[in-house]
Amino acid sequence: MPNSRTISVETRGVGKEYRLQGNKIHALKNISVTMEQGEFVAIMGPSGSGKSTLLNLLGGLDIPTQGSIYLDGTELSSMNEKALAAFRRKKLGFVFQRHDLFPALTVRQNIEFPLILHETPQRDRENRVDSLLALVGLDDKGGNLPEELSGGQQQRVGIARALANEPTILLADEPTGNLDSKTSAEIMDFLTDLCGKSGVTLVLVTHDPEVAQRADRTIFLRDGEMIPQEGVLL
Amino acid sequence: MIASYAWKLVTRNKQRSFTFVFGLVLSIGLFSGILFFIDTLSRGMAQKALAPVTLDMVAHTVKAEVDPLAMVPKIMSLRGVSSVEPVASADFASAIGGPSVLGSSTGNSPSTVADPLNGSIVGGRMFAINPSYLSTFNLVKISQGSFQERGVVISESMAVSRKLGLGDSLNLTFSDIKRTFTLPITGIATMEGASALFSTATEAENSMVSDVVFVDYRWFQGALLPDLKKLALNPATVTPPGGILLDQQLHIKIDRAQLPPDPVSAAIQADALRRSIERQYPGELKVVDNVSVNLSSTKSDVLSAKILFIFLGLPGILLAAYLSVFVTELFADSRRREISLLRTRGARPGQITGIVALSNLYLSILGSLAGISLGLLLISLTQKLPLGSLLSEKGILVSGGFAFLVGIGLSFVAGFLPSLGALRREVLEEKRIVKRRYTIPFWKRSYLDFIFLGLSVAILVVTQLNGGLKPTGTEGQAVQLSFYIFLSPLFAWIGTTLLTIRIVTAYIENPKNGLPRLFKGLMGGVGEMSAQSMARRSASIAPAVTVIALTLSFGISLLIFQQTYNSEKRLDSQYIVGSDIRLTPALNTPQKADFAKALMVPGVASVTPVYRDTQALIGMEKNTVYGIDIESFRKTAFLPNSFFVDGNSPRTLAALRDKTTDYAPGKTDQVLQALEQMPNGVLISVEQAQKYNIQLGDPVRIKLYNRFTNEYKPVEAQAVGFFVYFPTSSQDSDFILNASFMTQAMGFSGVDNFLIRVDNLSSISTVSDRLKEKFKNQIPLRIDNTDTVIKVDSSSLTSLNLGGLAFMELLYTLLVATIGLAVFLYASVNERRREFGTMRAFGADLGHLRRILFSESMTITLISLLLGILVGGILSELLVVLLSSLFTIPPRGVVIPTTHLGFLITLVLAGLLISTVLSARHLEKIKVVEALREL
Repeated sequence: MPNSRTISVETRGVGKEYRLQGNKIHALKNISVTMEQGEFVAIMGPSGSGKSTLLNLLGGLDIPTQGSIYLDGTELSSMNEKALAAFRRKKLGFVFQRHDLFPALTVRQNIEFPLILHETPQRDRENRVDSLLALVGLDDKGGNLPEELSGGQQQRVGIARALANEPTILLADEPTGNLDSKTSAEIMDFLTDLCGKSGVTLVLVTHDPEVAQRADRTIFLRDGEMIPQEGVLL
Repeated sequence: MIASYAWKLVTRNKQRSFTFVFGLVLSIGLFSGILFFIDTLSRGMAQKALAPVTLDMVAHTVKAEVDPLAMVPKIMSLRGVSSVEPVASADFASAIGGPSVLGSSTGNSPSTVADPLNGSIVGGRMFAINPSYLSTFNLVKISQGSFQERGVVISESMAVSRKLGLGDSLNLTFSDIKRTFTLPITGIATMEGASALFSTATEAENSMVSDVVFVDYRWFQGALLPDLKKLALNPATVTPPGGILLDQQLHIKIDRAQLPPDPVSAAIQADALRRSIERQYPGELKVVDNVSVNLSSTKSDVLSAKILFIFLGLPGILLAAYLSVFVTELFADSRRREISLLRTRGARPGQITGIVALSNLYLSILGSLAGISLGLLLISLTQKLPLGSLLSEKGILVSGGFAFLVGIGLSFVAGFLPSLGALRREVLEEKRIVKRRYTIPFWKRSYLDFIFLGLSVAILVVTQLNGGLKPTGTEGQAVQLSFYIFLSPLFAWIGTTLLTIRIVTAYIENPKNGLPRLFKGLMGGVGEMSAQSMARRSASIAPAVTVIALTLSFGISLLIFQQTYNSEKRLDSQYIVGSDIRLTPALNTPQKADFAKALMVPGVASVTPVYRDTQALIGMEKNTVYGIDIESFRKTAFLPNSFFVDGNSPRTLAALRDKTTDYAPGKTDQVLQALEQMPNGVLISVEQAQKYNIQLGDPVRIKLYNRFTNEYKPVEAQAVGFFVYFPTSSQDSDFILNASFMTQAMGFSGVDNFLIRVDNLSSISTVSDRLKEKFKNQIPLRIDNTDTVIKVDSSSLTSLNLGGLAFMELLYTLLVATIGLAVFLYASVNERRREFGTMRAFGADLGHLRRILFSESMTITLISLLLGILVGGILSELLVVLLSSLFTIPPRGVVIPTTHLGFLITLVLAGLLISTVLSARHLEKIKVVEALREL
């Protein structure tokens, strides 16, 4: 792990509550963590422990009920919806368990999407997409539709899309959840390598201990709270 | 448990359920609305048919010795008979006015009253009635004085022409009766609306007489009847043509409240009553039934109207039904996911089938009932009928029941069957395929669209080759419409729908269709990307375009058809009248040609006199012959080129020879010039030319009749031209002579009517009123104009007001088009929630998402508009061609109502914009986290 890296992600006493049929549900309680630039952090916990909730909060997709979240020094709650969207475009990339590629767009167009949002000029977009396709080893699949690819290939497209705008933070929600072990390993190799080379902060939610083992650090959650001990499986 | 779960399925997916129900409401609403419209239509047509009937039935005694008075009690006792009045009519030879002379016969021989033009005796008709007749039947209205037993009431035209008034005496003579009958004039009557009095047992047409007197029936029985009976029973007695020696009648009023509202049933009931009356006195009575005659002509019109309205409504119904199917297709993916979920939770296929069937049934009941309510509301509004009265009608209840069943059926086909299909597929396979694989539909593979269009063209060609539909040719009988004639447009509709889907799909899928470039320019990269994604979503976009395009084309074709229809009604009335106004002096006050000068009131552009002989003989048959002054006729009468044929053309000669209708078109100027150049020339209708085997140049012997001298005068004319239609003819004028030749030959120069052309079409009523006012109480005359003419020979279909139906269907056009788009966009947002959530995760803001939605909306709107206008134009041409026989003069083409069309398109565009904006608001409701969590 590189020394003296800047803080990329910081949460201070973050909590999230929901109301369900009159009852208050504490999805997260008092979560305070910091992650450094280029760090690979895994978040583990049983179902309903609040992993995805935390990830959504980190991505600015949801608003914490308590506490504050800082990404690259910027507090998310200080931004309105439009500013938050712009921040996500510039700084964040998402990788989903179900890939969530746009089915009516080709592989190339899927990867290009964040660049279009960012209003990148066309030529730059084309160059960027080409390099990403090469990065993920899908040079010859640019014109294919997502349904024409295997699960692993679709996930690689998802990763390429997430990296399109050169985010500083990559949020992955169970990226290997739908893949077989071999493909999972390939994807994780890729992500780990990327994290190490490009300095992207990778925050990854997983159930899989083998995946979590590759991380620099693992945060354990249970019933919305952090469990400070390592290696305690829930 | 299944029932309650099925209900939960409905209530949990509120948006999907609401959208499906709404589609069903529109479909069933329009369908039931059309059915209800037809139900109330026949009621309206029956009332309309009976409204002009002032004399329900007239029973004529066949033999002079029969005593009609003795028949009254028995006929009164028949069910359905309201009143019976004895009436006797007889022509008098002369009626001479004098100072008040009391008493009856003077024994003096009658002196003649000079005909103002020729100096001959002028007779008239006597009617003997009871005093109660005037209140029972609304035919004769006493405008001055009263009806008395020992007096006589004379017609207004007789009073004016002979300068008679109350208190004067009238000396009446009858042919072959030596006595003179003198009676004081005690009243003057208006004869407007009394044409039914002049019908006879043998002639279909009423020959109105201007000089009419009314006497008390008891006086008639004592003073005149015995002599008239003696004459009638004498075989040597000769009655002049069109004259009446003695006609004993019973005028019968039926109880119309007992007639069913449906004209078909009412006609049957009235006819049964007629037979029942005749059956009481076999061989003695001949009943003329005006009720069932009018209803029968309406009967065929009702059927034709039903077919016409079903046809005009059918595209709307098909479209609205397609909307239901389209809506179901939009939610098919979420439905499949739901079924998959149930399977994974352990539900058996039978249980799932039950749940899906029941949830579909709940929705179909809701949708059908709401749709029927909408249909009732629309009818109540457009026909101005109270809802309560509609609900009490059996026809409406039956139609409502039928519409309900159709709703259940439609829901079954559109909602349940696709879900059942989804259930049958493997769950695992369903889970792997988030987006349904698109397979080429059967109709596309088998080119059903082209097949239907080909069939449509074939039927049209066959119909037109067979001359299209011909009018019946009998006066007063309606035009029949065969159902097969609608197959062509029906197949055209189906074929066009399918072809539209094919074309639109092909266009959207084509990467070079220009849409990405267009939207890149309008909305930047997001717009371009949206257009690119549309290419792969053609399966859902093409149906949306089809629904809106065809809805718009339906509305457009209906508007154009209605405008053409109204325009042709006006042209037909111009043809019937002959020009803008026709002024007919009473027969007893004939005018010469120079009377035209007196008719040049402000607003009149030109006047032409028209002479007429209704008793002329050609061969052994009576024909009506007209005489025209060509110079003024040319300027005044309605004379399109389409009225005339080229008599010299081999094509015309062949048509006359082979008795077809394939005449070579002629020109007005050419034909009239031929008549002008030949003083004894005659223009002949093509029907008569065929019948009498006359060709151009052939001599034509005509016997012209002078009604004052009762003499025929033979003349030899020469055929100089042929026509298909002639102004004012309306089927009864077949021979046209030069006026000078005709009047010289007849020895009578009285003009039958004057045609008048006005400066400005909008001043027709004003000019008519001016003329009425000018000659009020001076010369009795009748004024007809294109605004008020009653078409005796026309189909009541052309007198139908399409306005109510048009309003309903235009409302549907607006609703279906705007709601079709709203449904598509709404469903598009709903079904792609996860996709939109992902976009938001990547930094798309609401503005980006709106651009995506707007680009889809614009694509659908633009393509729909272009296609809608194109298809609407073509369909309206087809409609007008097929239904051209509804009009006396076949339409020459469509009439484009640019203002109305512009208004419709503007309204639809505004509706589409509102739909888009409202659907865009739905984007704001997408919660990203929840969307990403969805399966």
